[in-house]
Amino acid sequence: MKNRIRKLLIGVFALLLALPLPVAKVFAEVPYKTYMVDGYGRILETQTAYTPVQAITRIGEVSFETPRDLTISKEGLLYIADSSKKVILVSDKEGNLIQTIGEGVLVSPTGVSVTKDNTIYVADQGAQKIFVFNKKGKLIKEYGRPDSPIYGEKQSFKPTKITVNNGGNMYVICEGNTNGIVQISPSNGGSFLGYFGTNYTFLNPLQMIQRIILNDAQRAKLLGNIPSTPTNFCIDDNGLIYTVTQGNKNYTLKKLNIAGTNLLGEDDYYADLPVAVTTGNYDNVFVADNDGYVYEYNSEGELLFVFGGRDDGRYRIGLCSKVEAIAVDEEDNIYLLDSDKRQIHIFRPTEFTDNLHNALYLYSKGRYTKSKEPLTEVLTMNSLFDYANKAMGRAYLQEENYEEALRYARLSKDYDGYSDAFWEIRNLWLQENLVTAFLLLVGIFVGIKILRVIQRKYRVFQPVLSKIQQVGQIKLVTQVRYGTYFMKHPIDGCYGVRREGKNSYLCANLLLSAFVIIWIINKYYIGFLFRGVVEGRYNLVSDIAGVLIVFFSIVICNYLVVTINEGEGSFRQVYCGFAYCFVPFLLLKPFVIIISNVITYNEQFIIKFLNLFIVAWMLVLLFVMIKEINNYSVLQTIKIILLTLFTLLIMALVVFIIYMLFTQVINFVVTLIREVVYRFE
Amino acid sequence: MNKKRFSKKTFAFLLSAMLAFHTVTAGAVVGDENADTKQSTATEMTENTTATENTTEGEATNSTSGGTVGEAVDSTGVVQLSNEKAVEQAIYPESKEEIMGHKRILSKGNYEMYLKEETLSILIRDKRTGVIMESTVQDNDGKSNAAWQGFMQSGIAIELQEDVNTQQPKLDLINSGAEIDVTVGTDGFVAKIVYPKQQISLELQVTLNDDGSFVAKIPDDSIIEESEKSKIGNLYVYPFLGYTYLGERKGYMLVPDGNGALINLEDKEGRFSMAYSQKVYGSDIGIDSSYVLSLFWDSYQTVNDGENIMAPVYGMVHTDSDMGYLAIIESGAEAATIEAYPNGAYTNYNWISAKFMKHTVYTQPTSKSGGSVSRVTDKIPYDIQIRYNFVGKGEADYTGLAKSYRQYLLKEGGLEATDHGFKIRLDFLGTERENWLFFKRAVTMTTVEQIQTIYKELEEVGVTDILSFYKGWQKGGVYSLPVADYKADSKIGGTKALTELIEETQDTNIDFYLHTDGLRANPDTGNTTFHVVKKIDKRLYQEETYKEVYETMKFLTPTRSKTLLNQLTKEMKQKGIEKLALNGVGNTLFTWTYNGKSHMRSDTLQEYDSMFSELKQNTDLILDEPFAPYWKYIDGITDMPVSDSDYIFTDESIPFLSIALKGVMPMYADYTNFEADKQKFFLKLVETGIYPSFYLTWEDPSELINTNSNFLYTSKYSTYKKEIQEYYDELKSLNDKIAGATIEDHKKKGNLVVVTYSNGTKVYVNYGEQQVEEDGERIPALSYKVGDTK
Repeated sequence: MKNRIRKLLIGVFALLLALPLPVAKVFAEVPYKTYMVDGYGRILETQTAYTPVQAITRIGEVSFETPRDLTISKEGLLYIADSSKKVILVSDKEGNLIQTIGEGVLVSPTGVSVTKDNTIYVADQGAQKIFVFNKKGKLIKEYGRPDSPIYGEKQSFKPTKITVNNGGNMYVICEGNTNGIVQISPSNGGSFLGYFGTNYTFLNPLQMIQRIILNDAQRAKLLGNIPSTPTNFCIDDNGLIYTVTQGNKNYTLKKLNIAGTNLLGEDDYYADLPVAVTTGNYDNVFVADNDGYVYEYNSEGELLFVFGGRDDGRYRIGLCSKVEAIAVDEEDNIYLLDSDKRQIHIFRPTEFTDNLHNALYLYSKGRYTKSKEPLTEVLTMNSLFDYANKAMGRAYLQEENYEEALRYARLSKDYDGYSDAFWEIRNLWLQENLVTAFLLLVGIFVGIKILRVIQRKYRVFQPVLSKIQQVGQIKLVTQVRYGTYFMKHPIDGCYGVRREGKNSYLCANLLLSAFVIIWIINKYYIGFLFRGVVEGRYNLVSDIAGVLIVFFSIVICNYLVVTINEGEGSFRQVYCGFAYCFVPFLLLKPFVIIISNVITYNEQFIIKFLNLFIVAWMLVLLFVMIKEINNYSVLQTIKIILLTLFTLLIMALVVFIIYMLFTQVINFVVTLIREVVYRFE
Repeated sequence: MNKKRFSKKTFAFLLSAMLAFHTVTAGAVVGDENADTKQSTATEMTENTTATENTTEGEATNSTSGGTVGEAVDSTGVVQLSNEKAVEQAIYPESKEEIMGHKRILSKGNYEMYLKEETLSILIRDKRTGVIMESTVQDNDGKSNAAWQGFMQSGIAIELQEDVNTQQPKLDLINSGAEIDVTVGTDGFVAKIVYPKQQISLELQVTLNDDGSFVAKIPDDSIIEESEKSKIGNLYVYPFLGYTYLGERKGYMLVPDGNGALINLEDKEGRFSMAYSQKVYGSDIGIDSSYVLSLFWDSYQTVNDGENIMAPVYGMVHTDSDMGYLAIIESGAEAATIEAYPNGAYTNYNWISAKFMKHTVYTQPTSKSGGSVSRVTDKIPYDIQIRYNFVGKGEADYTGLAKSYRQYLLKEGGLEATDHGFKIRLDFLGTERENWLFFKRAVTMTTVEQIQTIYKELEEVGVTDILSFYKGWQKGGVYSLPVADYKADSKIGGTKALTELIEETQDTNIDFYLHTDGLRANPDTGNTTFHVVKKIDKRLYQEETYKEVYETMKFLTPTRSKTLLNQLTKEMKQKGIEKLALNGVGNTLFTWTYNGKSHMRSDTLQEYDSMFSELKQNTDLILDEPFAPYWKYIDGITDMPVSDSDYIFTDESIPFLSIALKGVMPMYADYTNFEADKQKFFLKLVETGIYPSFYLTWEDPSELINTNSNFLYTSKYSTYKKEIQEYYDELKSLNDKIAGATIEDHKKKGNLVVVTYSNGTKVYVNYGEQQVEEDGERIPALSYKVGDTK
């Protein structure tokens, strides 16, 4: 309300004076696309979230030289640190100069922070000091390098960015200090409180091996594995600190509580080269990328959208060259400071974004039902907007409208929400149908009993049964059925395969085909909660080819190894032996698939257990099969298995080399032809 | 007399100062206005008052006086306006034999032409006001290098293509030792130019028309290049016509970006080091290298391409002297690039011109791994012809230019007024395909029956005047391309049902068009081994869709497009269907090779032109965002941009094309669905007179997530029904008041836009956040009002 009155007053004032108002373009084709991420991590285009409105190139009469940082105070004033001009420029949102701070004091200011009471903190990299100014721009304090021994004896103090919490404690990022964020308390003229939000490094397996094998001199030549310093940070009203770190892979954005614990997880959708972070008015977080992309996240660090882009000589308003800082004002406008173009780009949220923010706010405050209104608005404008679908699903869940909740959860791939909604629906179903189901079961049981009795007394079903028996006598069928025996008695089973002719290519092929089919069904039709594939994406050819190639390479390699190691099995026996090892999978997996469709995360251990059981059984069968078919000892078998694996590796290598050579030849021929065509044209 | 006027003027000054100042500087950046002192501000105001006050000839020359403006009559009788800023605005009230070394050669209508033979420099003098427009810089500021100075002083300039160098040195008429032979005739002059050193010669023909416009032409057969080494890379014709220096003059340059944009002639203070430079009719996939500079997360193109230049026009207006021109490229537009240089970009001058490409370099790959050689194309054969239409007193603004273009289109462009009143455009998506186990599976969004239901429901609420495109009606779904037969997909109801629907609509106010892409061919749905476009380097062209079901598209050769579309329209005609909407062919032009033979863009243009004229025999046509040469064949333009691409150079977006075409050709906007700022978009439709468009499906668009159409994230009919009705009611009643009328005036006053139609209706659009009052009308914030018809 206050805002509105102020706006109105400004408007009237402006009209009275008939000043030449800056006429920003009202509507223009936006030069960039806005993207969102769907539940599968696919990037989809969405409505424009923010439109570029204006660029501030100068503050009053002063043009920027090397602008390095920008922040907006609660009053809506812009504070810009210009390291070449050696001042902090204060301006209003139209770019009129209000005051200049720190003339003659600052050497190379690179970071600026303003508290609620308008005290201005400046990180000066050149002076190696932190300067504190009061509202009027008078220097009131300065802090130099902490002299505490914990700070590090040889550690220099080159503050680049600064932020201050409500208690007046300063958080400082220093160039070249990899220990983390320096925390300084204002007491006793600045006492060092310790390091905060330290990044860690990880060793990949290759590096671990290198560390073990190499000697000290060699190790010294390797690139140092030093944790990266956070690039920039900000603090929100609750004292949570958000940091961005370049080169930290999927952890470039962190949300740290007072104890320095990261409240966000790993995410693929954090910026690659983040340079600045700030929080908005709805617990949302904005990250600016060096290349001019702006990411907006909700408080859980989920990407809402990303927009913007590099200018690359396109000369369009809204594209940036080198972003240094980001700020958001009370009206949700985004300010990007571009040090290359030496200007501040201003972006205004669209109706779509306003609706979303509204929903975000209500939702985060727990007013789910109320949040449905703006959410519906958002979904009318974009029915695929993932976050809105998810929030809608959660809202319905709260309202106990589980059917709708399930629908929205599935749309947005909100697995937890889906699981919860499904549990409720199943629960209701069970409550309603438990008696019927029980009666049905009893009925079936009794029915079978009765049928058995009838059969025993009158032999009515004899013709059918004898037909079944006849089918059971067919050789192929006996061979397939032998699988169940093999499964339970692998040693005997192998004997049968070797000596009793319980094998045929046909049977093995059949088992293999069944395996492939169940494998594919398992991949595409296992319950939604356990599915690893993206809906609507089918790669059947490569699925089938993949399974077959892996299977046959194993069989062939194993056979090759076996023949030169006094193995007794023929190729047919080895092949059939491998095929029979699939039987536990063939028998149990269909149950897993069926069960998975009616199970929630609460009972997922059943699936996990069954899967483990199947794999273990198959491995045991494999081991026993290799041993028995070839008549090996246990040690020999282990040796053979290792040799097989080694052969597989060699085979893969050979195939790879042949492939490489082949493409080289093709390349050569193509080049030759093109060259000839070019010469003789 | 002067004194009398002065007192009057003082009054007028006070009254109109504020508003006038607004008008003059609308769109200027804040900083620039703070830059100057009060004095110059006052000057601007006075000048503006002068311009609006004086109505009769003669007075214009002697009436300039007042507090800050000094008056000096030099011995030659030239009135020189002067003040502290030394505005170079020479006025020649009397016709003279010679002005600044230029001899008078012709006089027609309201204009006189003066020529300086050594540099082929011309001057155009408006006989009514005595103001002149120069085409070359007479005494330059000495801050540019010799090459630029020569360029500025020449009527014709060349950028040389030497071997395969990418650097193209400038060849002007001053430094090159060119031999010029001028013959002055009764209608104009012919200049033979020979560059002895480069062994290049060409002929410039300039004709002054009775209406005062002049045409400059360089016929292709007059261009002779004897040297193996030096060729003409690019040609400029009168590049500096109407140039200005820094912020000395008031006015703007018109660039045909999107619907139209202006670059103000103010001191840019070195903010720009580059110029606006865009190819007419968009980029050329056959020659331009298609690399993308930066991809987001390695695979997403985040930057939107700017709008294509649809109409080959540009302009320059000096509002302070009431003179301007609109340049229309009559021939060679497809090889032209429009360049607008604001001051600071290389020179301190503001100038705008077209650059014509005659030779260019391209890379011919010779190996798969990236090896390549550079080659130069043969001379691209086409005549260069530009018409300069001058606007004078009272007309010298962008509305005047747009009106001049409208007259040109109606008179010379073969355009007929086809705007038969308001229609709302509702497009439907029929059926799409998604991947499934072994086959592709249909995802059907809107069937014929559902369309019938939609029409019926809309009729009940009074929405009756509709234009519809049906996309994805063909067998195999929307991306089953090309379409050569009239066969509908069974999923939407089949051919018979579709024919019935179309027959039903023929008795109503619904224009039902079948929509397809005439350019693209899908390698997954048909045989695309033959008749597809190869680039100039003889490599197959494939367009990436960045989608999952169909990953690439190929382009059909224009001859093939023509055959297939002719076949389609003939089949449609047999069933009595005579409405076809096309994408692709109307808004893409390319260089291509087929069977070793190269075809330039001009060939493609001609081929398409003849195709459209043939199709016109069988069917009504509408094209998506079509280029100007095809306008004569069509009944409407769809996807008309309402704004510009927002380049950093441009200061203001103006509805240039809308002013020219409103009341002549119905225009339909991009889909409202995808607009994030609906209110402002709606106001833009009100301002420009463009009709609204919606893209609708019966089913929820989330069904489309696994298809190539997954860009369609909002389109469900039931959610849009109400909005359609609101748009229809509001815009229908507005457009009924201006039916058939053309836009006569368009003015911006801060956030308020006032559009005046030829029937006297005034439309006020307020984009501001505050209520505005104008002509006694109150226009609420973010709203519009239709004034009374006077």
